[in-house]
Amino acid sequence: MTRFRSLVRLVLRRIGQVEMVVAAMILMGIVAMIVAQVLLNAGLGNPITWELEAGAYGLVWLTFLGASIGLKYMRHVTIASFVGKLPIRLGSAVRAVTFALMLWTLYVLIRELSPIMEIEARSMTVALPIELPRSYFFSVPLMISCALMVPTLLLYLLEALLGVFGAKQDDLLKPIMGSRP
Amino acid sequence: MIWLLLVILGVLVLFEMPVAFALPASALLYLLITDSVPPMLVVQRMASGLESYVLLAIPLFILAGNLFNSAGIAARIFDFAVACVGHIRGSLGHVNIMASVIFSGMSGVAQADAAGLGAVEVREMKRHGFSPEFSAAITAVSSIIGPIIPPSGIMIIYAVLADVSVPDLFLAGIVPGVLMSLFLMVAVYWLAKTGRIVAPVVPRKTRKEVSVSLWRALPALFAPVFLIAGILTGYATPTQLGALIAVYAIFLGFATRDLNFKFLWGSIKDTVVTCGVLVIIIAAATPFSAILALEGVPQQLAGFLLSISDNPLVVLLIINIALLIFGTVMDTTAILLVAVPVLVPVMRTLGIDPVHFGIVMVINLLIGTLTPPFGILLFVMTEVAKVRYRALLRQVAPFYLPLFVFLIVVTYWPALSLTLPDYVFGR
Repeated sequence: MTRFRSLVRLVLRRIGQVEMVVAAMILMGIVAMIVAQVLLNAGLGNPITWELEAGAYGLVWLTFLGASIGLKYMRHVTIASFVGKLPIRLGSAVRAVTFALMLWTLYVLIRELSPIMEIEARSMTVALPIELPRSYFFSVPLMISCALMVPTLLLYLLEALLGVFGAKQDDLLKPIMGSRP
Repeated sequence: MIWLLLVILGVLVLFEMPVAFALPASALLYLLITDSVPPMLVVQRMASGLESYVLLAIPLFILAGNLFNSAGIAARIFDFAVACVGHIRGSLGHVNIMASVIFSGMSGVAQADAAGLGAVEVREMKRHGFSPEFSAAITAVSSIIGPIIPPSGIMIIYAVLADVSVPDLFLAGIVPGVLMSLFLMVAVYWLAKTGRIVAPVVPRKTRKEVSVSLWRALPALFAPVFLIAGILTGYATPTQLGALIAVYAIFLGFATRDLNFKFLWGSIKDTVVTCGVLVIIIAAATPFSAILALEGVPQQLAGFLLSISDNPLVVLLIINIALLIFGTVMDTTAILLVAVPVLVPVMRTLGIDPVHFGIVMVINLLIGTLTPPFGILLFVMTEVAKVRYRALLRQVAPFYLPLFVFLIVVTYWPALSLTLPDYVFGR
């Protein structure tokens, strides 16, 4: 089981690194685009007309990818209450229930997003140089983010269950990508 | 049945489910139980809730703050603050506050300020003989100045939700932010004078030493000046200013050789994660807010508030108390997302300026990040300074009184917030 978990962690870490590179490119692309917009507008009086729309879409992708990466770092905003103070097995059981509920939430979101994607795909972007379905910037990134979070949560759920059955706590429920970016 | 939604959310948060999951999970569980609306209707709003160019300013200002931290700017600002106020009784306590005021002009998230500049502040205060607990406490308290003085992530979210101008809000935060720092400095002075803290005074610096530290900090001081000038002249939007300041931080870091590609990559990675876990809450809260709206909660709450009193002073008092209570147990962004659409229409009905109310709400919620049991800044500082939670809380406690007095002053003296935007933009 330990080797299996190590392998899964390695695969998820690699996926996380790819996500990070993509998200970083989006972030720096947004910065470059906005600076170019300001310079072109001020210098040549020739602004980029699609900057507003592309920036807003960039934020959507950046946020949803960041949310998936944040889960791998275990950096999501959590209010620390009593769970950490519970006996180890009981604490692990509470965490297992929490992870299971999070997985259920992702399942419902993915299920509901499928028809939404079809509806959103009928309308197109307005100002971008290339006309693209609007779903590429709303339901698609949300769907991808949810799908990327599922294996991460499955691993955390498995480790919480191992904790319930008395496995050693030292290497359980540690952030997949380390504690700090 | 709306109480059911709140109970589910409360239980999930208490079970330490991340807020970004607890919000949609509670909304979906509520819909499953009550079968009132098809889930698709609320899920559809999740992604589209982020379609805002203004919100894009949040990751850009986070990036700028991270870059200034990586480029060693935090240490330069701290040295400059030592040269200016280190000799006053309370010494590095004042320095900590002044450094936070300066740094607040570059970063807009309190947690980032506490973890970034805070690490430098705590290290230096401990080196000068301050207790780790007080060093952590004053760092936590002073870091809430960051989101009051522009730029401010929380103000951007409020502006989007309340449909008010970001520049108006940014300008409205300047005077209260500076005033808050004065309140805190008086508190530090009193604590030092009465012997409640050990505060070794730093010898007064010579004029030459002050000049040298100013010269070293000067490039960093341009950033807030640049931001304010940009807002005042209307040369660029807050989002564009965020990108320009980030690029300025990169150039500055490489020019001073304090920044390298490793630190740059680290700053970008940290920005991606911080943006992801922070902004996702906005998307996550939309199903929750949608249910509140569909159940007519804003109208009911407005009716309830106005039935108690139609006196704006009384309503503001009630709202302040309610927000302070919610702030102790809920995340700041989540409260904003749920409360702003409910409260702002009431404020407009009572003739209270939404810009003024925004400043009151921001200050109120930031105080919530310092209050037990779930003050997020307290948790951040226990990690940064490696101190125990209870010991930290004891050192933070003396600052609650000045913060509450300050909140009352800002609440009942609208001119404090509104004079500057009124004067500059002729509102």
